[in-house]
Amino acid sequence: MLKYITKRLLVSIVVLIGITFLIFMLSNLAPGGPLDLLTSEANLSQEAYEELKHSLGLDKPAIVRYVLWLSDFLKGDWGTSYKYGTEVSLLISQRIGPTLLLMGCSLGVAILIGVPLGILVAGKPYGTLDYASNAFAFMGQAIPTFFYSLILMFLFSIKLKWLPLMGMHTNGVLTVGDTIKHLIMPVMVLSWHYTATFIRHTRSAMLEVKNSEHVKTAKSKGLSHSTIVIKHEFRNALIPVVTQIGLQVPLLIGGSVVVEQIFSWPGIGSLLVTSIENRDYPVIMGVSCMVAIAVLITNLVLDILYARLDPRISYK
Amino acid sequence: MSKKINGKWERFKKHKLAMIGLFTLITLILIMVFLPMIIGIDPNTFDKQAYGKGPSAQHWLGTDDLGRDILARTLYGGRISLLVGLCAVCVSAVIGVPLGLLAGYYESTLGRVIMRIADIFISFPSMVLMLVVVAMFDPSIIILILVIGIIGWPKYTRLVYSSTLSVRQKDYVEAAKVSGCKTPIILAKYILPNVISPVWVTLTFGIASAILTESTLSFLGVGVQPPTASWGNLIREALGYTILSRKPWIWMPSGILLIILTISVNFIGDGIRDALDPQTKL
Repeated sequence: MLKYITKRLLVSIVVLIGITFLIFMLSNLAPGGPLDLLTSEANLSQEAYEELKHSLGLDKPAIVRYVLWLSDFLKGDWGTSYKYGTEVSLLISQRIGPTLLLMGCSLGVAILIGVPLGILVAGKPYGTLDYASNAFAFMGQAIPTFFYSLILMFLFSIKLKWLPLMGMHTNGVLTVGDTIKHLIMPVMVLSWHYTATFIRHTRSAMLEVKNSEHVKTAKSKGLSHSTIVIKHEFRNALIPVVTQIGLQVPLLIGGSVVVEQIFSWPGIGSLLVTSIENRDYPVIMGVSCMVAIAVLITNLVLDILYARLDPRISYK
Repeated sequence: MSKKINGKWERFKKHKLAMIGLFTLITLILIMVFLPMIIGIDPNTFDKQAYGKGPSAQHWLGTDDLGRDILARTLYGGRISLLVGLCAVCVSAVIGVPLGLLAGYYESTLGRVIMRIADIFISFPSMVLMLVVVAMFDPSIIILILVIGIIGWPKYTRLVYSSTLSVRQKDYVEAAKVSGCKTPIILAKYILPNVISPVWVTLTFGIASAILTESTLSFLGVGVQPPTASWGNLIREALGYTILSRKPWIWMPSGILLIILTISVNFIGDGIRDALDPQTKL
């Protein structure tokens, strides 16, 4: 087990280096680099321009800068934002909480609604509820997140005035209830797709387990219906469901970028979009690395979880 | 051969939703191409008499704050969306299919390297990667097509890879090898035709998701840039409070058409999948 984890960790590190290298090189190839942005307003002389370039370290070859960046990154120095002048690690640590709150709530809602509904639907395949959940899933795929968000805003904030339009809290109010009110619409948007995914995958996993020998045995032993469903079927259906959670995390991160931007949610996603608009490379690099690390860690944790859930899996 | 295709078309025709999807898609395309000409509207003409006016006899869907006709902008935006969607999946398939063939055929080293790279691409949030890449270059339609296309390749590679693995062990492939056939010819003539049919299905669904991706990027302001209209940047207008609350004619039509288009393309994809799979009963 330990050997397996070490191997996975090593692979993850290689992947991380690959991703950061790719993004670093791309950001350096791009026309209209950070320097042009910084100097576009000030009318600098050629000398001052060169001096600024030197002081920011932008006159060295890209590969050297990448190695320097990587060693700084490992030391915990993620650079300084060109735009805000604050440290990238500080910026990210300020923004990570809201993002985790948003993503956690969405994933939680999706699991809490999707998994039980999936079990319920599997009890009566091709029934009304099954078709309804299929339609729900289909709509979730076809309606773009951003349009759905706007419709919700139009309906609940502007027409009905039930919910606040954007942000995380009303100015000066710092109560839990207020934050929950602000959370409702973004979570509704972000969790739709995942709820649908969980319904469908739980459904098919449950249907697959239903005909297996151990369930028949449990039935012939005269166990109650709920015991069979929960203890003998669901436990086995959990593995594909957990796989789905893992596969959905990258999509969840991508989705939260869009949702955060629309609802002005003060998280990592909106930080990424603003720093892209400003070509604030240190922040872009920092956020991309954060995302890559988050994805790799989730995959690792899920791999370990499988072994806990399914005694047949052993890592050698 | 033609009989085989006819049989598939017969099967496709029996799929009601797919036929509805196809009919809707064709109607939409005809409207986008011909309606602006017939009623004589232009997406970039400013009407000085009508700034941000609601629907009227002259402007069926009203005008934006600069006095441009929304119907014309929506129809032209649709053309761009379809164009980007179609071209992007072509780029993905052109990269992904050969790589999948190679990875499946040379399973050992080359295959492993290709599939590892595909894994990395799939595990990283593509929206984040696309935002970063698109923003690095000055956004243009070509860049958009290339980026959406390049980031979409691993889906095709995985699909083709797994079917190639099983096909390459078939007797006729062995026979071709023994009789001295060159590898590129084996790949193109004996393996490709047997692994291609699931690709058509992925390709069709891919068009819908590429269109959604393009509009999302345009909505975020890094996709198609104004004055060129696209559904994404028309809906982006609604980020302004007055337009969101008081001028729904500017952003609603694009959103509704976007939904109709993706649903019809997905229906067509369902139909193709069922038509190609002989085990599905229709």
